[in-house]
Amino acid sequence: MGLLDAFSLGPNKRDTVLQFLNFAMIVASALMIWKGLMVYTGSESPIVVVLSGSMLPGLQRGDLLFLTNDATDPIRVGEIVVFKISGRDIPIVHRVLKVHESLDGTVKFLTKGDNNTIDDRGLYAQGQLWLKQEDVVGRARGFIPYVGMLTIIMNAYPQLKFVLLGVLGLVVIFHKD
Amino acid sequence: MAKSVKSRPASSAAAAAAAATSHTSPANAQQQQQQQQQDPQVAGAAEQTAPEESYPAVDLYDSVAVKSTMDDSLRGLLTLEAGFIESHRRMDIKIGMSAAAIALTGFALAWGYFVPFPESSLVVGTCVVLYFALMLVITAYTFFAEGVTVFEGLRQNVSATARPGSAKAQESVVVDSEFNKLKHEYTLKITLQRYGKAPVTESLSKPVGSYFHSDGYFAETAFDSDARKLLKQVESKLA
Repeated sequence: MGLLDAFSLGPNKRDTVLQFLNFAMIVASALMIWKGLMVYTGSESPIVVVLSGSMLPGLQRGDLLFLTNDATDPIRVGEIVVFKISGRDIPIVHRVLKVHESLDGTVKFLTKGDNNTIDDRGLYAQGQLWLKQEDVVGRARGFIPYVGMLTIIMNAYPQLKFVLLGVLGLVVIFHKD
Repeated sequence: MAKSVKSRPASSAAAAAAAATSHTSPANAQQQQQQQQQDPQVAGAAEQTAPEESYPAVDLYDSVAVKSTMDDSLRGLLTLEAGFIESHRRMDIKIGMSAAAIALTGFALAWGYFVPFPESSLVVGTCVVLYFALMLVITAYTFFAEGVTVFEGLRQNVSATARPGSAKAQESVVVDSEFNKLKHEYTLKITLQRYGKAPVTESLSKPVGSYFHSDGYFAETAFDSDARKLLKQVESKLA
């Protein structure tokens, strides 16, 4: 009477399969929203959390930043950029201090945190004095204060991530809706 | 989460005896059964009564659980007593679409993992668009195609002259149920159709309090009795 009868699934097992798929679709929806944001903004990390106070007073630890990465839009002094140093995982959020544009269109720029006394050359890789377009993860276009504190707490206590996911999973599975 | 179809008393005498104990909670039903066993005059009735499995108590404020309990009882009645074989076509279609959506997500993640960003943007972007389009289709299907239908099934039409097993010898049933939370009313609609004849529909609406005790236990006998009456009404109209 049904396509799945070959698997000897009765109506109750079908209900179980459907509930499992519903839970999987919740996770899938979150992932696809993230992927969609990546494609739309052009940034591989469209939402980031500020982890330090190096950009005080403008940006505080725990602020959520929304990024875009339009490569055709030239980088200008004063813009807040998020960049990654090669060989390091954690991106840095600082302001552009100096920009050099060559005639062939290549750009190199220097950054500094608003709350730091010196520029970022001490943070760059060995022998690196400038950043390039390829180092940029995105440019800040907007922010929400404090919301990112949850991410900071979950990074500090990784078990919390699994507890939260487990609780969410149990709620979805045991709710009959 | 996993629902089981309950066994049902096979004989009408058993059903009548079970009805005598309707509107009692399981503790009282057990006391009455013990009393019946001690009293020789009703011992026969007690022996004929198959032990009625009770549904676990539900939270009466949880409208989804309340409706699910009644729908589950209905499914048992239609498959075990009325002889219908449930059609899982709609659920299979929904399972298929959901599985396709999950597979699409898996493909997008795998592509994004093996092909670096931004070269993977086109494929991943296409998968995202297709995924949300599929979600829209699933939502529309649940709302329009499934709607309020809780059971679809087929059975042999015993009065048919056509060859048994053929489409002409079968009758189909579609059962819709709705629970109006504001009025606390449960509406049951049964549509029966035989080959070559127009479908016949009968419905009944009753306060949901008629089928549940105040402590959340389901009065299965009372519910089954009303559902049986409704089914017989439809069958007699179709004859």
